[in-house]
Amino acid sequence: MATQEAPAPAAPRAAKPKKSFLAFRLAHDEFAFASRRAWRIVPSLSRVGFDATSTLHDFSGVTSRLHGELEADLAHPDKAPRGAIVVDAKTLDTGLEDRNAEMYDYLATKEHPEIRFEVVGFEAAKVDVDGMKVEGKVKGRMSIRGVTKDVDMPVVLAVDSSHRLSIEGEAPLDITDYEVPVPSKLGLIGMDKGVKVWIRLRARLVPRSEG
Amino acid sequence: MRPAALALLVALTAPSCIPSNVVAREDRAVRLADEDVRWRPGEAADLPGMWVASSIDGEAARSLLSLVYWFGPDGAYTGAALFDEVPPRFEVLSGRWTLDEQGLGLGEGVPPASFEAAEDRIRLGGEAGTIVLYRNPLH
Repeated sequence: MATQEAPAPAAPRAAKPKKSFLAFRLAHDEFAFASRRAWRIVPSLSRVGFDATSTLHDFSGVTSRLHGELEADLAHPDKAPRGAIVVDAKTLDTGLEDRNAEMYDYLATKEHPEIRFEVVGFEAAKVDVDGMKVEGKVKGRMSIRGVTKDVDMPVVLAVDSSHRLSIEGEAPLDITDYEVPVPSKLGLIGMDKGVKVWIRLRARLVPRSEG
Repeated sequence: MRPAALALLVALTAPSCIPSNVVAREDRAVRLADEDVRWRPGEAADLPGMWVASSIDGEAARSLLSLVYWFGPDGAYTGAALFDEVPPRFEVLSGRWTLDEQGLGLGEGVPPASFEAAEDRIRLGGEAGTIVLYRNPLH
């Protein structure tokens, strides 16, 4: 009669020693560039803005009041990336109170308090897995003043030693596409309807749920 | 000059006094408050008090959301670390601190940390990263 031997118990996997930081034991780091992960934008480390030109002086509007999340496999960024960045429109600051008030009117911030960018795709130009860096074009849907349009923005994404994701990019934008009136004084001093929108974001890796 | 003409002149010339304030490409990123700090080697007298993290860099930043330390003048200390887990979790420890040429000791078996100070903040560093902590004004 044949006997069946019980399979030998698997050798216990050697526990990887945890690194210490100021007397605390750090959790194991399981991040891999080639894996689908979610990243949460850190507002205090992020800024978005626009550069505008006008007849007499050019100016920028900036804010750090924003939030959002992105999800992608950075080694294969074309594969169904998703995410959104939401900006508190009434915190865009051009450095002049009067100009800000006028801008909030033009942007109709009471009715449309948020400027939103929804990620719908990515066109990779260069993926450097070892350097943890990606260059390409993020494709998305931008909503300003209640009007939504397709926008492509060339961006550079890079993961640093803290495993924070930095996202840098800029794209031209015609404010009349969003039905934003072009500011003008007496028909003589005017702002160009074309502005440059830019982002400088830093995002933190969202920990995986134990479930 | 007629009032209407004067008003027009003021309206047209006033904006010309405003300088351009376009943010330069290299200034678009958030500038961290610690970038221009002049650090000096920390001394024992710098340490007593309660300190709250304002920035964490390096490997430690991957798993820590925040850190708080209290250092007593008699060598006692306690610290709380907030780990970035689901849900976030605090871990608390206590011990004795020492300061010598090796750095800031936080207990047996713990590699000494580098310790620098500035007016209202301290910077501690180790193999797994660097942390800047501000003095808690409530303590």
